[in-house]
Amino acid sequence: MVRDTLSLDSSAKINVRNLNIWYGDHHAIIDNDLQIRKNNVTALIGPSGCGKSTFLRALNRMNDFIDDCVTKGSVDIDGTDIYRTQYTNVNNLRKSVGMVFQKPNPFPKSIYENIAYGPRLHRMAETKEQLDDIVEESLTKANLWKEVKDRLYDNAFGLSGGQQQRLCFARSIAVDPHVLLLDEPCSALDPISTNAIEELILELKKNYTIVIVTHNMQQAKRISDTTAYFHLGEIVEKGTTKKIFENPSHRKTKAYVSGDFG
Amino acid sequence: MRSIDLNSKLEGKRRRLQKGMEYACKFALALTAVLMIVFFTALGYRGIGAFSQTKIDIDVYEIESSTKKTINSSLYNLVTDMPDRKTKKSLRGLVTPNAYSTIDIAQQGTYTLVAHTDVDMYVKGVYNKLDPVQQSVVDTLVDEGKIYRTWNWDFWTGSDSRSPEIAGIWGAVVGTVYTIGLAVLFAFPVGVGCATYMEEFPKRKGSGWRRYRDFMEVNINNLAAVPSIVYGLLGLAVLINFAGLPRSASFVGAITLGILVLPVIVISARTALRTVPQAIRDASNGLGASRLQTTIYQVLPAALPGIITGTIIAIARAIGESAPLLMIGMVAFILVPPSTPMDPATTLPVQIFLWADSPERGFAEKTSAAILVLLVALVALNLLAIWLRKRFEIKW
Repeated sequence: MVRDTLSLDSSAKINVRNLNIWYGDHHAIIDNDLQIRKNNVTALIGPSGCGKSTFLRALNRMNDFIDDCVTKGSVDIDGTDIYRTQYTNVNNLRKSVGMVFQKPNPFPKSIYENIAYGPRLHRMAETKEQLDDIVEESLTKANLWKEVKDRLYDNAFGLSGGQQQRLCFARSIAVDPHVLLLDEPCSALDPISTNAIEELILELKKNYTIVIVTHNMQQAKRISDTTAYFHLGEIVEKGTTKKIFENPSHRKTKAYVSGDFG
Repeated sequence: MRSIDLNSKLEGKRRRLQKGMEYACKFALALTAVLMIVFFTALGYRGIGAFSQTKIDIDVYEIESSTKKTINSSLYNLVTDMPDRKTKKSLRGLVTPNAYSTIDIAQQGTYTLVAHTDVDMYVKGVYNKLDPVQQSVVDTLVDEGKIYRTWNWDFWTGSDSRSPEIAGIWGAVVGTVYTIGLAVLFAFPVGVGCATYMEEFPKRKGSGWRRYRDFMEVNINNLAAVPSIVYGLLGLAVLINFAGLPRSASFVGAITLGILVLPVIVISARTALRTVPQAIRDASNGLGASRLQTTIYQVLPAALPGIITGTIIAIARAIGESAPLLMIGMVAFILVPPSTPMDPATTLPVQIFLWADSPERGFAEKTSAAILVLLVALVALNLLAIWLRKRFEIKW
């Protein structure tokens, strides 16, 4: 297998080249190229239906579940093409590239069971004590431990929306991923919960590479280091967040970030 | 000048129509309630007698060579004169013929025997088939408190019998438990397996598996509407004639009823699986669970309350079935409860059918009482289904 690693920016964790995705006849992602740096927050912004969620789901092959979705091109993570390698274990890929969804989606089980599920799947703990440690550590990293430590065995549905979403973060963290993909994680939350999640993202970026899809441009501005602007399936402009928001070079980007449409 | 009109002519008409509709619906509901009350009252009125049993206390003074002779001579003592042959026959007819073989009399004392169905009917005031001798003896004994009605344990612990006074439902209940239990053991895993395959495992558009699934879907929906007797014919042709399984066995009944309820279980399980949000599958897959792990650890447990509720309703349907069981010979005269699923057996609805068909008047109240028992069992099952749904249903 030929690996084109030399041309990569050495700090790029994910290197997307020439990515094309079709839903049936609909060409949803057109020739996307993007480098995602390690320990950075990369924001994907753009109007509805522009393909940013599709792009995000391509990074851990969640699009595989969609019946008529066809993906072409390459996504290298740590130099391995997750699409071309014949022996890519998709389950291990999803363990390493975790995902948090738009609406909090805890399992209808206890808080403890929600976190312990992933480590159990991947046999990460041999003893109950190790599992307890993973649960505590994950909840602590997600800034949730203090709030739930006395009710670990209560149903997760009893938590508030913001707490549920942080529980979903903790659940993803529990399987020790490298990358976290966040698909509009704050869109169903109130401003205070959103604030808590944003603080969490800024903390997590020390240890994880984060890609976030957001509709909230202020949020992208606040938390991201790099931003890519999508329009009708194409990446119109990418660069540092500062540049995209303050000095966009493309007309469409300028119109979008200044709120003229979208 | 234009102004708003709050009382247009149209409004009055609309209101009258709405009122009329409301009353029509109320009437329909009231009619249903009245019909149900009539149904239950009639059954209760006719069946309540079967829950009590008439007994005779006889005093034994001398022990003869056999229990039969002992009982008979004790019965002859009920009249003061020396009874002639005709009177003797009348007196022997006061107790159930079954008494001779069920009681062991070894010493003097008072023994309690089950009265003959004619005495039972006379004491309960249903009808009078007693001759004058019997009638005067029974009247005297009732006054002395030696003929009396007690709780009818025989109805619960006995099996079918030629004598209505000692016939009971236990044999049919055991047969029902075997039949339905095995039917569920067979239909539940198969049904849930079908539903899981159809809902949880993807089939690409235009693929053979997709066509297979769609074909099966049409068939399963169709099977749910097939008359139940057709399943009986299937059981008779395939299981008994072709496979050579024994007739009247609850095992054969179980497979027949299992096939009967399979479509119901598949359909309810598919509905339950569909109510599990896609977000749960995404969450599990996103953590690196395989499709099988997601299905087993998350989707099926979340759908289980719905699946079980549907299964209980399917069981309730199977318990009430009689037609297919008639075809496979489970319409047997069961004197002893079956001890294995291969023994000849019958079920409660078939027992009702048998009793309803019997000429003896004593079986009429048994029929109604057995129907009441069946109805109570069905109501209990449906309540269980509602309770399970309320208790374990997940509000997404």
